Amino acid sequence: MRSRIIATGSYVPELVVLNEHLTQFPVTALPLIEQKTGVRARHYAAETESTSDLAAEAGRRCLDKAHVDAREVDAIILATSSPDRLQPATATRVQHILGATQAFAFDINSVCSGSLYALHVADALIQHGSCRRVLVLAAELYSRFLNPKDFSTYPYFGDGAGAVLLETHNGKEGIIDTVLHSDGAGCEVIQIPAGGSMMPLNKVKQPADMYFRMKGAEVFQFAVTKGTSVVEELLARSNISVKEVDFVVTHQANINIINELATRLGIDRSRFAVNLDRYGNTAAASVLIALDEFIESGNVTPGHLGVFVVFGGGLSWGASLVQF
Amino acid sequence: MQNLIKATKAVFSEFNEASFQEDMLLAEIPGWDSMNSVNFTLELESVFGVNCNALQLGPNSTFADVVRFLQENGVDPS
Repeated sequence: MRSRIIATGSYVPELVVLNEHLTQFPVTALPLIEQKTGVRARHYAAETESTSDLAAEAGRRCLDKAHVDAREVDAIILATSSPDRLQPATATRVQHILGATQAFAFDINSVCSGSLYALHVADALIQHGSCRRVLVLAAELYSRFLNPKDFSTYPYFGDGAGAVLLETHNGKEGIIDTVLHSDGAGCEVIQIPAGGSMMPLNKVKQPADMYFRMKGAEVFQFAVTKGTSVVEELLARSNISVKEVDFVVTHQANINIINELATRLGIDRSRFAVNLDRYGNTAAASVLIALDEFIESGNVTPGHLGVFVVFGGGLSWGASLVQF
Repeated sequence: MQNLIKATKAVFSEFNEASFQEDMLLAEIPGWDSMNSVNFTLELESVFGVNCNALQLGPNSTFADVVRFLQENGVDPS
């Protein structure tokens, strides 16, 4: 028995912000954004939208495609590192919006790796037999957590949400294997320092502590090193060669990371799904948004073998092998 | 050079003030990269009130280059 992806969905907010709209930065610096990351535009949520709204819309589109009523979903797992609130779980509001009255709902925070962590937990729930259908969501609203004056973070992220509906399947299609890793020694590399128990609001020294920060050079090296090794580990476990992989959906952090992964893995770059030029880095949501678009564009056909790759804060990283 | 050191520290929190020397390569500052170099120029503009669009910072740039630019624009970096 396998957990099969029976539908995908995605949603990005309407507002498009191009690089040239970022007038708080020197005009001479703006070309660096595309040059260093490949990002040309990103979408920002409306003031009335929260993370749960983005997730619910992606989920609704996914369920519509699958022709599945929300009341037939057994569980909702939402990967997010930009939740509505510290508590309760953002997934519970999504459950309410969707009307998934029979589902239990909870969040997972593995920053940009969250989608595969959620996918793996959903797969385990199905393999265990406790769930028949699990809606996996990943949604991020980073525009609320970025310092508008920080050139090292602000231009590279965008808002959006993706969804995957998993269902019990007696056949070869579905999730074949997933490998996940974490290294807490790197927990300072990507962070929002304030707002939690380590730095509650009454201990905040400067506004910058409330904003997302990362050590870009360290993240780049980590991503290309671990992104490569985890795919090699995943394929070796299933005795699959890179030549058998039809497509790769990797975290949309930086075009130079994707290019480097393609080179190191020996997989033609044309087999990688890429949308970061239009959406920027949507953190946990990026893989599910890219997967949905890749499928909708007709790039995935029955029999295709796909690899999903993630890397992000924690540090955390992982990969999944999926038979379509 | 306290204001220059302060501006550097504001962008690069791991910068050790004791390591400051005018001939120090900016690339040796922990966390320095092309993106944060933009934040550095924005901080210089904020601290010294000077337009830094003409300040070109590359891999071989030093604090001395920054000091020279500021002085050429009528600012005392100390």
